Amino acid sequence: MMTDEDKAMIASLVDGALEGEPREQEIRDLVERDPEAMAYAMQVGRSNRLIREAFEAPMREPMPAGIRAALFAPPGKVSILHQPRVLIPTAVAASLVLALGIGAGIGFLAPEPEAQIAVLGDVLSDGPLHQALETLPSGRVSEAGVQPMLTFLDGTGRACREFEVIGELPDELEFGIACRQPAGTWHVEVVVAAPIADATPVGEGFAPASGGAADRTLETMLDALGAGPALDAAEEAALLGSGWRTH
Amino acid sequence: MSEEIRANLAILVPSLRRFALSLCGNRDEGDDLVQTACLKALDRAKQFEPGTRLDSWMFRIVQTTFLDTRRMSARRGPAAPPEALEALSDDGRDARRSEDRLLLGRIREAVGDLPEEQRLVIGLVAIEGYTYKETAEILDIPVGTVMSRLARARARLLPLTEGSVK
Repeated sequence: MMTDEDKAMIASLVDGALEGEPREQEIRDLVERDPEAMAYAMQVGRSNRLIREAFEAPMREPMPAGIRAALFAPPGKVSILHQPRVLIPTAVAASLVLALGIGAGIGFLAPEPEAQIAVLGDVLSDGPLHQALETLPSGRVSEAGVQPMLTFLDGTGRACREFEVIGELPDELEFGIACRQPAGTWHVEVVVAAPIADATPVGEGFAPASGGAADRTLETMLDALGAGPALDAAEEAALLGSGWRTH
Repeated sequence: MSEEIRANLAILVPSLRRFALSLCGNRDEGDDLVQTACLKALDRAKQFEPGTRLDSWMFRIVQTTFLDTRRMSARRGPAAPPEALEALSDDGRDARRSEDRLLLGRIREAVGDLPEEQRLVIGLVAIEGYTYKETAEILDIPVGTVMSRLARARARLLPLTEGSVK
């Protein structure tokens, strides 16, 4: 009959903790001689292997955008998005976005649905982007790689969220702004792609580098929307909790 | 120096995320934990002593961050629901048979039910393959404590994986 001490020693052997220790040979002999000890050693080994397998999913995945930004983005200052916006006519802004030629290009509208999480226009109500925008507090990343970054109200009182999507390319992020329509769907107003190296950490998330092309596009859109200042966590939580009741 | 640390941290990220997932039982929380730990590490890069092991230093930052976060959320009320356990159920892509997937799910659940101190030693020893001595250094506890926590954790985990020893 094995004692707890025997079990601990056998487990140490399996865990590789006895290498070079005085009792290593003694325990090896025990395992070889005693079927019960052998069975316990096998069981510990199998258990270690299964526990490792149970949590190995992250080993096969690319680095999440938030961690990548934490490691590689230059130290950031305050996001420009936290400042109040001045209203400019939407049509002007839209033409600016098109002139910059970012995000709104034909490529985003072409039917290549699987890879593309964020496209301009209404968001599918059963899709990953809707799910994230509708339910996640800012700063959290969804399974599909969508991270709402902040929430604000636009000039017409709609709740809007800036979000980011881990791009198909490992070094690229997509930033977008979507607003919640009265009918309860989210409408993507703009999507821009930016190299991760240009991103700036903001709180737990990050924003495109100040002054870069992606940033200028977003800023233009925020102006066009008449975006108010970013809501604080409590205000955002109240919206999330109320099913986005803005009034 | 800082650039070198960044590059070496990037190499560690997959195992840091695996460790964090085993601690949090939840992918989002785990990634938040790793992200915060990376920011802390870069912030304290000057405190890292060249010639010592970056991985031990970093796992230590992850575990202290984990315990700090837990203490904070304990004050604030219940943490996020464990959506992850279910969401993770297709993770055993290598598990060819469904009973293997079920077993992996039960293991994740059982690890999540362990007290935090036991989860930390199981994570470092069984998952990350650290020796008892390294684990003791990372957690700043005696080797004897590592062994007793492991024994208690195994007493609860081994019955799950009993049976068809291959």
